[in-house]
Amino acid sequence: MSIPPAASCRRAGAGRYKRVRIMGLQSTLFQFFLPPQCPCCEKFSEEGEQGFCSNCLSQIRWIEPPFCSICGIPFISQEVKTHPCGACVTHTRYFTMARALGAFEGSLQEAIHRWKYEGKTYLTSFFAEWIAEGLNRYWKPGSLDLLIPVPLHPLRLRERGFNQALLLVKDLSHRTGIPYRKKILQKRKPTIPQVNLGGVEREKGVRGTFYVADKEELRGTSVLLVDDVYTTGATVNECSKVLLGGGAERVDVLTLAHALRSS
Amino acid sequence: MSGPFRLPLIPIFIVYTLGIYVGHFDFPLLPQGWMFLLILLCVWALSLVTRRARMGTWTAFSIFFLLGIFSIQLYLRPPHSSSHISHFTGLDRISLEGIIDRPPEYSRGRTQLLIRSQKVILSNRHFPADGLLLIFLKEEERSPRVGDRLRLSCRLYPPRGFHNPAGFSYERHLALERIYTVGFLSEKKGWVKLGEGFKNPVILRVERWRDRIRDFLDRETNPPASSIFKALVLGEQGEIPEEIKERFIVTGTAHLLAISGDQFGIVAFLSFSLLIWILKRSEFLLLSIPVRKWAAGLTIPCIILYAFIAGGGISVVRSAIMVITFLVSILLNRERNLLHTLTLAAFLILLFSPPSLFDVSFQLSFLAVLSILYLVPRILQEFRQEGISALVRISWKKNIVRYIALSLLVTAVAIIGTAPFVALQFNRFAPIGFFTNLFIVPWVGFLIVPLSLSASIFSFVFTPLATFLINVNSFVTMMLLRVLAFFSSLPFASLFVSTPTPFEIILFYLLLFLSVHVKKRKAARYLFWGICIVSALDLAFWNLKDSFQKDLKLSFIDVGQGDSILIEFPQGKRMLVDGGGLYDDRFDTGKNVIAPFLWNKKIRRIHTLVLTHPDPDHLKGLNFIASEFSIGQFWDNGSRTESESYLQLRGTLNEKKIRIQSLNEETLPQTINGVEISVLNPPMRRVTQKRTHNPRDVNNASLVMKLRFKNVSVLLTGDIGKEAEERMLRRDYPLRSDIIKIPHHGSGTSSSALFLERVKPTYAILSVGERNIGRLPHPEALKRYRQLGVTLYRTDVQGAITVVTDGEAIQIKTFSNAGNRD
Repeated sequence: MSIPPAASCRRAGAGRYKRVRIMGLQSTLFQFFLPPQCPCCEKFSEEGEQGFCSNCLSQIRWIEPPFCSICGIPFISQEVKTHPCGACVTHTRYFTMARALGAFEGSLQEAIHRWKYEGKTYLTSFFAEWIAEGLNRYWKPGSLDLLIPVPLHPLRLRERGFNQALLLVKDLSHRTGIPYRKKILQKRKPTIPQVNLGGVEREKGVRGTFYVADKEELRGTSVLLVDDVYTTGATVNECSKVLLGGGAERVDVLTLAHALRSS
Repeated sequence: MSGPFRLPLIPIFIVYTLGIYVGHFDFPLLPQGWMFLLILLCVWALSLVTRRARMGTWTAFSIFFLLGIFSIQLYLRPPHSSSHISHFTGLDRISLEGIIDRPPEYSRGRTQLLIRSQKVILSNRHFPADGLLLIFLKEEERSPRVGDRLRLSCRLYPPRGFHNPAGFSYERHLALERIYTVGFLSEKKGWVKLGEGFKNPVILRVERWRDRIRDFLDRETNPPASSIFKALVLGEQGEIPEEIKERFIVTGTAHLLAISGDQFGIVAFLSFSLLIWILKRSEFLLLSIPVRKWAAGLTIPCIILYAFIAGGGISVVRSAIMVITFLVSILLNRERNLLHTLTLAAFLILLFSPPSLFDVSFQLSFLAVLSILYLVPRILQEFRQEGISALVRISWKKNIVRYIALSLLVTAVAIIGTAPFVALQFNRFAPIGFFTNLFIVPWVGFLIVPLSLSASIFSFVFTPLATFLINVNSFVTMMLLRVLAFFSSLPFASLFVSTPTPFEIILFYLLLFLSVHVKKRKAARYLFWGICIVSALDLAFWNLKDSFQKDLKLSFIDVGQGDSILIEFPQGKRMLVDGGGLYDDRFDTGKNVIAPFLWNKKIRRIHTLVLTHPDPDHLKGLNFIASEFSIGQFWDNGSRTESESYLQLRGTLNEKKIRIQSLNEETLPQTINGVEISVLNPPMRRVTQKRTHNPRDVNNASLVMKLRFKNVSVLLTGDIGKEAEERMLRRDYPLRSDIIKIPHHGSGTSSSALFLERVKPTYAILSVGERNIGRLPHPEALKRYRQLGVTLYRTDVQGAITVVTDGEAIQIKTFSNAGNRD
């Protein structure tokens, strides 16, 4: 497990999203007419503050090692080394490693809900900035060939108006330069929303609902599957299985948040 | 204050608005004011450079305050160029050339043309002219169109409304539209078209579209439905019959007729929903573009198109700005704080058009949205149990209940939030609106508006479909009118209320603001109850005020041509003598002048209503007063006529079971709260049976009353002429009075020298309208007063005249100081 130096982490956020910071009349007017707010709690930003306010940021529990080397779930004890967790030993995991940025709780959970269910898609760029940082931390540059979002069934897509995983992937691809494919992996059957289901039901529910539309492009690639929340891993596991079956050489998973089983 | 109030926009907006409000009061502003503003700007720049935050803030506040004052003063005291059309007023007939600036407006058989003047021809000499003027045509003239160049032969005047304390100011109303001159054609066909197309080609093109839509609506639908469609699509309200309008007003749904914020909100919502639905059909689009933003972006051109079709008037542009601001905030990812966006919209509107602050439709739209955005989430917080509602799938039954509860709440909050301003502007409160708005808003908003708009659009491309849609719409609209007729006929659907004072309005909004904070904060609770007590004291003050009044007060209300005198007796009893009235039916002085005057004094009850004689200029205004106010008794002179308004008045009095007493000289003097009232005319003849129609006899039979309060007496003379004057002289009545209301608006055949010598008034009050048909007052009559050294007051020059006496001294106040030379 190699972690790239901190410098490249910082670089991830640079680029077009710094434009807002340009001093001068434009930003003053913007500040005056449409002042920035915390995208999570909607408080108006303090002077010099940008994005999430310090209160919301402080509520986010970032996932740091030690964690499971496969599914990425953090261990409670700080003493142990990184190793596969019990669940990953007993279950078949088709992906090589899954990583998440933060714990799915507190303000991060709140923000993800607003983003997904209330259609506040402006949150994407904040999430993408973090997730790009994670990508640089856990994967060597050049080790990934394709970014693939977990697809939504067209019906669900129509209902929601966007695929949150795709929004993340697009932004991520823009920041990292890794190409993305939105149509390779598709969903065949609609599943009932996973939110209120337990692990076993989830696994059963997603079985056979995904398929690969274009095997040619997938052949021999190292794929990063991106989703918003890793709950039991049922969805990403099924996707990984299908992707491997479709010719991918290796599938990794990166999510914004990891739902901790205890909470 | 927390949240958005920390941000610079909101305090700056408040300061700027305050500036506009302060600036609309008539106060002299130094010409050096602009210099002062310049200096402040320099100070501000300096504070920015030296980074003195506090200094910068305060100078920014002062700058925007002054800016507000100046921006409104530009309208009220405009720096006219020497060739401005307002310099040509008061002349005899002139020839004028100009271009029609906006679509002609029609109401009750009259046409109003807004003309941008170009030149004036005066005795064969041409003078360049500029500025707007409003021309009135006495008939419905359908041919003039925007961009036409006309030559008109007309007389120009400065506009003149009714000059009563706190009354509607027609002059100011027009000045805020930059109109300072009105004109009347000197003959029936006093205009010729010289050419057309003198206007921006885009506007002309849109005007031709509007003409086509208007033709389509006229062709395919019948009134009254067609008039509603024209109001909703083209923004032309003038053709809606008065009784239909009244149905909307009484049911509290009149806001749907005017093209204002809610109309645009509905159209924006509909096109946004439609666009998002269309875009969502394509999976490709869903995956490649943010459909919500695209829908918001595509809604903007729809809104602009609708604004053009709706005539592009100022209230239309204003509503479009409001809606577009919200849409742009979605595009820029700043949709989070709607309250802040609303302020931004209002600020942009007031920068664009400062007079909007005084426009009812702006005030009501802004207040409705403000109260919904501020109060509804805070009220919902009180009831919220579940965390994130979107996660929980609830049954459709629960969903419907929730939807209805939410609409009920939103409606109620909007009505309550706008109630003080509705009362201020219309003196109405419609309790039934809480109920009717629940289904009439969707009925109009989601049925009639989209149907009329889509029919209008299809009329350009596929007429059969358009015809079908508009016919369905006619049916839907007629159903609506029937439903409204039912609801408006209910008792207590709508009430007339007294005008709230600014203090009361502030109290009301403070209570409303505090009511949602009472549960959480202790300070709010104390403040809330404190304000409740102050409100109760305010109520008590207005109720007890009368009983402590010691003076006799007479107000000669400016009703144009006609008489209307409010007498307030000591310890609070009130008598209204005559109600003014125009000879045609365009304007109801009772409803529009006298009632607001009374409501403004918080008068709801008239103890004695008096009609001196049943001529229209004394009678007509009483109808509204008799039916909408509480009346104790009715006095008249015993004359009867067959005129429609007279029969209507008798009908109202009978219906309300009000005692009618016909007075004559034999009637014994009565004393009301220390004021003795004696009747000197008409004589004890059986006038009732004579049924005279000779106008002179009608006038001579006027009720003449003499009021005596301690040492001061007032003679109210109605419209008597020489004959009645001589008769009273013959009967040797004690005519001597300190104040006389000049008989018959100063006609030459009354105020005879002998009569005046016997009355020997110190003050004379003339109630007369400017440019009246009878060309009153007669100069000879006025001369007779002047020769006796009487101080003369006239309502046509000085507006309302108020006489206050404690029985010894007499104080006379006039609405304006103009012409106190007499």
